[in-house]
Amino acid sequence: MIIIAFFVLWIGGIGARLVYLQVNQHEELRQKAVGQRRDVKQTKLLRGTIYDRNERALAMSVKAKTLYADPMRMDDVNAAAKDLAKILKKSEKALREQLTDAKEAERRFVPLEKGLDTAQADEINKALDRSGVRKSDLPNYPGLHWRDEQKRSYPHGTLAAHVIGFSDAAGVGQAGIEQAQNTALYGAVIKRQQERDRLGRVYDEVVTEKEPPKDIILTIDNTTQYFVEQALEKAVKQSNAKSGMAVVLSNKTGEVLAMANYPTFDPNDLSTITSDNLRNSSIQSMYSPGSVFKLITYSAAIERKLARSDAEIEAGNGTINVGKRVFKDSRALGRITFTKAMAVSSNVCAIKTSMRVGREGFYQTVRDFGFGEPTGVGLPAETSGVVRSPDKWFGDSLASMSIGYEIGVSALQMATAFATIANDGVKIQPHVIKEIRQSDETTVSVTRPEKKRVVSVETARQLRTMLREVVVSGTGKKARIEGYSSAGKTGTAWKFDEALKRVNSAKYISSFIGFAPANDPEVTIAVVMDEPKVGGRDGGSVAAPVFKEIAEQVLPHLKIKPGSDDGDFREPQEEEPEFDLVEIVGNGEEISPFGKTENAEEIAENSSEEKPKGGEKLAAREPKREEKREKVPQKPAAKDNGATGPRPVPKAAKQEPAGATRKRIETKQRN
Amino acid sequence: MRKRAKNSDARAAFYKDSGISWGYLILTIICACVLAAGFFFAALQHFATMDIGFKNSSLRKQVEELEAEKRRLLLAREIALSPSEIAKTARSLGFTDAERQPQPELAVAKDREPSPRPETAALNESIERTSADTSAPARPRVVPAAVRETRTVEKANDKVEKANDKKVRVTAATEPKSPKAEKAAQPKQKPAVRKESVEVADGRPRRVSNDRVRKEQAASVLAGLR
Repeated sequence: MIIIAFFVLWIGGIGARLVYLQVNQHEELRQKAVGQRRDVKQTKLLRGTIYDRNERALAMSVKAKTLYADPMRMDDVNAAAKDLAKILKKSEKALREQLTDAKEAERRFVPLEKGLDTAQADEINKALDRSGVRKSDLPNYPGLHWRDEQKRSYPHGTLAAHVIGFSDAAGVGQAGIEQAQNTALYGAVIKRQQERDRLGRVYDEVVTEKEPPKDIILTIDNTTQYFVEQALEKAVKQSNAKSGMAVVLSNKTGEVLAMANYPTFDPNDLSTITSDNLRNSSIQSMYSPGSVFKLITYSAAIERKLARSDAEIEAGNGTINVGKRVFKDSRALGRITFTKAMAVSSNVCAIKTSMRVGREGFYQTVRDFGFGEPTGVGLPAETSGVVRSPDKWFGDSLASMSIGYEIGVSALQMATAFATIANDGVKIQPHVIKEIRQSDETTVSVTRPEKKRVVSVETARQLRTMLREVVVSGTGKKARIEGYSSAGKTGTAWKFDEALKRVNSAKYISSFIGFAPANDPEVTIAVVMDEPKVGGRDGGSVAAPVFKEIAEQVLPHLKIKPGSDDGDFREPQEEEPEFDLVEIVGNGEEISPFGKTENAEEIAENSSEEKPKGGEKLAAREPKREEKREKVPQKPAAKDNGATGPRPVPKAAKQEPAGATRKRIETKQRN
Repeated sequence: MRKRAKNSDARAAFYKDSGISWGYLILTIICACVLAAGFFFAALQHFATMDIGFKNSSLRKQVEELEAEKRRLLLAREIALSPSEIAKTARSLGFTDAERQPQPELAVAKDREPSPRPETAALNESIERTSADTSAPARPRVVPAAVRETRTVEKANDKVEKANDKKVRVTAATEPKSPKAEKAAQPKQKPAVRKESVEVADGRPRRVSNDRVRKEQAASVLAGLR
């Protein structure tokens, strides 16, 4: 009986204790048990990758490790500092202070070394291994742990830096695509619930994650971008320009194949970033385009049947008074065709043409081409430019705008306008993102750009003819491409000076925008140089050679066939008279190839110029010209303009373009 | 012995009195065994699960590490294939920019013998090259070759001249001067050189002497060098 009683009491005691532990202490003990075996980790998925159009990675994240110390678990901080200093090659004193301070402040996270890869981490683990220490994780050293992180890497360095942008240490995009597509690229947070045994080994794991990050495929072509950047850098250095920008657009798709700015930066090294090189000037800066804007002026007139490429216009004595201002050409051009007016970049002809169109019509065309609003290329902080509505214009605003002043545009806007003409008058929204897709290669979205007809096919064709003449016999001769035909327009404009609050005639923006091949344009290339200081500072001297250099490399790379035209280096049939191709910069000031300027003569008194009414139709004189052409079929267009006014004076000594003789000989050899 | 016999008798009497049969006893034992076996197998399962869990965890970790490694390798490949890196590597391997340095094949031309082809053809090509190069001074890489080619041309010219002079002298010394012989000797006097000098001069058809051709060539080459 005694034994039975003992057992009953014993069992009863145990039972009572169990009831107490499992009922009263239930929650506390449960938490304790879960805490012992379960470990909840929150890590970020790797940020999405940015690829170029050929799936070459432009930005990608890799895993990196951070070695950190938990000084609260270190028995001897001094010894730890000594060991760490030896292995990490750091100052022992600094480490000791760091660890001691953290221990006093009861901080449990002291980062010691960041951004290490697996191999480096393994080396450190090996060096820090201490026998007799029982730890579930590496390194086998009390109070030291690894933390998984990620490192953003840009394998091509400065290549397309302004397009790609960069992300900060927290993995948040700060510029370019990294910023614009931060939501898509951002690495989602992963929550891992790991069950561990008493030795810390994981035997069960539950992973919950948010939407995984996406990859971005750009329209940028890696090689094209490289060619463009090299050519731009060389040109900026040669001309000692403040900066330069270049854009290459695919005419038929609106894809941005390259977008370069110089100076640039290396997103791998954020210390190289300054306010000067961070700006993506191609889309974030606006400038007065100068003569390249004459394309818009002529397209407005041709579209409204107020002009034709082969019709004539009176350039008079080379000056025109509008409002209280005098606009000048380099010389008296007399009666010339619109094509020649474009080729020699006549201000007078452009102004007269804009006056035919009228304020409203001109403004409408400018807006139709997309000026005054962002292009929607898909990059952050894009400027919309400045286009004032006609009710805010001054008396001479129409004239100024027709030659590219009193208006602010970005290089991309201007390139888009030229691409519109190259694409038979259909404007395609330029875009830099081709598609967005999941990491498992499932396409999430494909960019479908907006398309809008701006001018008719016939207008575009005539404008292309005019632009072609600029390269063949006009201000853009240096944009001639070997093996291909090209067309384009030069532009040289004064810069607006914030300090002076007006344009500064000592500072220029020189540009050349064109496309190739001229007969079936595939790509549009815009080159803009900001404040060139050495050598010829006009667009034809500074920017056109860059266009040529880019086009000569890009066109064969893109496997674009030369087409029916056999290129710009054709053997001249006969001596060709040349106009004096000094480009007029602005309101009466001209720039010589050596960069000297003459002061503008400004007439402040009443203007006597008769303003043609907007909408005035052009009197057709084409038949006479056709007859003359038939009579002299060998003569080039420059001699055939049938002008009644003073003829342009041919240069005394005709200079052959570089390589022309060689080309002629090669042609002869082929024959 | 007596005690033990007594005990067994007592136990048998107990079982007999309490009514517990052997059958029940065996059944209980079997049940206990089954239960124990169940616990045993459950424990086995538990530890097997734990083991699989460990393996699963390590494999998962391995997959992650391999993926990370793959990314690292991809990154390394991209870095190695970046245009700037290729240019750097090319420079380190001794390749040079074609626009800045003379081409290797042109460097060889220094020791080249006068062309074994008909001298007029060699001359023609050389002069064409020279004239083409001088018209494009923007490409200095061709100029050194042009200088060499010009020297070759000059040598060839001298050879032709000497040969012709010799022939003429020999003819004059050995044979009487007949109009026929003079006529026969005339066409051999550097016709091609004269023809080519027409091309070299300025692209316009005009006749110039060999000396003048040489002078002009030298001048044009010098202009190219400048």
